[in-house]
Amino acid sequence: MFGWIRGFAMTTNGPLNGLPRARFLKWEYTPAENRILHTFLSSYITMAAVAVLILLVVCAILAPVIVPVDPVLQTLSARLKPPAWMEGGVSSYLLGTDRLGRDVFSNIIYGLRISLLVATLSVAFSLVIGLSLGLIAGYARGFWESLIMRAVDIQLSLPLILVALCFMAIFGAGLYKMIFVLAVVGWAEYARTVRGTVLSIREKEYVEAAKALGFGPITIMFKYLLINSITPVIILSAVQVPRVIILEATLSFLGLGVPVTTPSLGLSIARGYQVLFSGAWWASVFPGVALMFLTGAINVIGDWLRDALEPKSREAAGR
Amino acid sequence: MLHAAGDPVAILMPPDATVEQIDQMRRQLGLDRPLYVQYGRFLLRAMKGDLGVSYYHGVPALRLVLQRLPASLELVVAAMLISVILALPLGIWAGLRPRTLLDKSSLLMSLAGISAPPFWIGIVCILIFSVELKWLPSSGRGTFAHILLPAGSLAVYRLALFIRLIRAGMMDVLSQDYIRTARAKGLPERFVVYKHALKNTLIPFVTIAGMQMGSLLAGAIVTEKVFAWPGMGRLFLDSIGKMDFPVIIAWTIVTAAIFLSINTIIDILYVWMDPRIRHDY
Amino acid sequence: MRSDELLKIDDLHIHFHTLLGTVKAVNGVRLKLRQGSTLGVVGESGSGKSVMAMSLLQLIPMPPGKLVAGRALFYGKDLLQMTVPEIREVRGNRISMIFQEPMTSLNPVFTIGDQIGESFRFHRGFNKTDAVKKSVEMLEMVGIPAPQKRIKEYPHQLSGGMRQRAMIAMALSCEPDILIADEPTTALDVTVQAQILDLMKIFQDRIHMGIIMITHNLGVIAETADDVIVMYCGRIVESADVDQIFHNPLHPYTRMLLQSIPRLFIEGVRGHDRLKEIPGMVPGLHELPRGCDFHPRCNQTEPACRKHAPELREVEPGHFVACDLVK
Repeated sequence: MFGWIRGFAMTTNGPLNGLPRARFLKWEYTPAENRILHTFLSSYITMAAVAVLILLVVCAILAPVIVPVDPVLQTLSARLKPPAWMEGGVSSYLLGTDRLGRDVFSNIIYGLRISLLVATLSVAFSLVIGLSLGLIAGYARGFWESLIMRAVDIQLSLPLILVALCFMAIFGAGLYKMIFVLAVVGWAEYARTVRGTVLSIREKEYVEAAKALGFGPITIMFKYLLINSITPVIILSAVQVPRVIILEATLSFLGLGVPVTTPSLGLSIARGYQVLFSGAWWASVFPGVALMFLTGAINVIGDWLRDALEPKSREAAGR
Repeated sequence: MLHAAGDPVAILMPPDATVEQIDQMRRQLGLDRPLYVQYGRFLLRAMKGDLGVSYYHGVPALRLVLQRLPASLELVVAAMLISVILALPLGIWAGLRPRTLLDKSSLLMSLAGISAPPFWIGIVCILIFSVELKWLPSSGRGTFAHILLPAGSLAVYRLALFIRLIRAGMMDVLSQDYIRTARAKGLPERFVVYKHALKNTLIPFVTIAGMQMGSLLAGAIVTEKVFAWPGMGRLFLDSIGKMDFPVIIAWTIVTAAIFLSINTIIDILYVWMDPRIRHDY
Repeated sequence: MRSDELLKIDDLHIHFHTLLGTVKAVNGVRLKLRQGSTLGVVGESGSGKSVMAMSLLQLIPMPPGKLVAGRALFYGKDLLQMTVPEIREVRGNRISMIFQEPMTSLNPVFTIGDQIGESFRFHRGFNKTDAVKKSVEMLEMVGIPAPQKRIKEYPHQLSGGMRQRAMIAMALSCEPDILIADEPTTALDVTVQAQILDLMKIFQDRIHMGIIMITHNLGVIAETADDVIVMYCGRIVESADVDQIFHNPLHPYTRMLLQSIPRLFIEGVRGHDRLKEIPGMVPGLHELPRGCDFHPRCNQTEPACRKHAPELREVEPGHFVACDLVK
């Protein structure tokens, strides 16, 4: 009767006066109570994205194990070999080699590793910095708040690339420098979001109640406000991580990111760019495709989380 | 900053220069004076509009940057135009017909657009359109054909972003009470959408689009490198590599000025467009 | 159908399919509206009164909503089955609707002159200048001072009362046969309320309009209605003319509603009584109780009420009740 959920999931009538239930393959659940699950199962793309992300992360973690060839190894006799399925390709170099005989596939796997490493570390740092500053700004108000928010405003009015570029230009390339720079560049949005949440929550009654019960301000801050900031922070992270990944790739492409000896997707693309006109397209295309899948998967997951975690939209309630 | 990254003079001089030659160059460039003197002199000259002479090119830095400015602006404006012109119809259409095939496919495409690194998109475009098909040139500036690829690849990210924004905006606006009133008045649906809903969607959109200008300018740096476009961004990158500090500083100042003016223009535009703010008593 | 019957609704059922279940928003409603009279629709939020009203102009989005059964006859034609061009002809022209929140119901980025003029331009084919002239006239008729100036203003520049007047101007510009007013005064101050109600009455007398007045405020009903229907959980539980409802309420729900009106002055007694409330809460429309909808909260309930949902019966001439306990 309720045929309105497509795909694998089918709905069945609930018990009299109960909530409708849905079925996915052989598991039954109640959409109204498991919103996260339901939004996940209703969308093929989301499921695919999660699968892709898991695959990429596993590959990255297991890089040393699964990589066929050392990515840094330059085998001049095997320069510019095309991918394995094309004429002249060799199966040991699955996606071909670049100008100096480095294997594209291995570089991609290791590059994914670096991308994920840089992204997770710097986003984690920005998160911590931004969260703390945001909490302080929202709760303490007054002078501290103005100071912090001023900094946020200034930071946010400049495009991230610019700031990162300038930093790296001055201090030179390097993995840890880059993580540092990206962390510094990203904290502002977290701070602003968290402060917004804090402002809206602090007026609510339970904060008053806690104060009345004598908990100190620090306790209140970290306990109640933290818990409620989690949701917007998660959603923000789902947007920040892809941005940072692309930033890292861009910086590495320009030679201002990871050192030249570290494999990076951006660097691979740069190397491919140098031989663009020789027809060796594989050296620049494949790393980009990998980046696209990685970022795309995270973006889709971000969309899904935003859908699932936001307060219920108007149409869900009857009238 | 000048001295944090190493000795600029040593880098400039050919590797076999003698110590005396290096010293002489240093004196010529005024880099032998104490730091605060250099800074003071810099400020004085800056106020006169003289930001120093490029180490590498030997011409005033400011003039150099400003010379390249039109090229960059051309690129940025073209990219903005492309993204807005294409995003509006697609975004509106997708917003009007959620969950249909059109909506889903445009969402998918916009997903790809925001996920792929812009410089890579440029490279792919070159591969397809210049190397394979040989339709369009891949570098240099001149004819309309020359600007198409760089502006197009720069525009992809914004295009995808705008489609999502417009779509979300339309969907949100269409659920508002005043749309219900407009329908209850018996207005034709087309009118309800294109008059009532659209204006409400466009107002916040214009602000965001304007703020993207700055980000476009930044993104243009990389695009200029990929396509060998003779603009400010490319100059900046080259100067970084060569430690040509006057140019770097000049570039930073010009860019900052542009940002400020863009933000101011956007603010004015927003006040003008939204009657609520205009009439704030 | 009698000749002065403007609107007749037959057994209307509208359901919504949501993740919480099937919401039976309108669960079997029938009513009649006569020319020049005011029908009051009383009920708490969630009683289905707004959904019923909006469905008349096909303003309910049909997924997730669904018209399960029923007709709404307006001069012989079923409003619910009309095609899009037909219903557009009716909306704002033959049947107009005004809503509760004038601030959000008016488009904030267009002048009120523009918004009022739209009705004239679309339904009467006026050109721009004539539309502006007529709009100024309408503003004057609804009692907005300095209409020429106000015409060019935006909704946020007007006070709540003036906005509602502007909405009335918009609704009445084409002199409709029926005005549906969904909680028109709820968001306004008491003094302004009275003015707005008077305004509607004046118009009603002038153009012989029928009004459907939807409200949960019994005071408004007493002031304006000729006939009253009381809705609960998407059904009509009592229907009568206004005198019968106030002097002889028969359904337990109606009686409890009337009792819960705070009374300040009772002869001989200084009102220190507790406010009488109706215990419990309105059930969600997706989980209606078995049998009579009201029985969990009713103070006269009997075991039979749990088993059988009562039908609307005529207990005295013109007075219908849906309760098995009323003889």
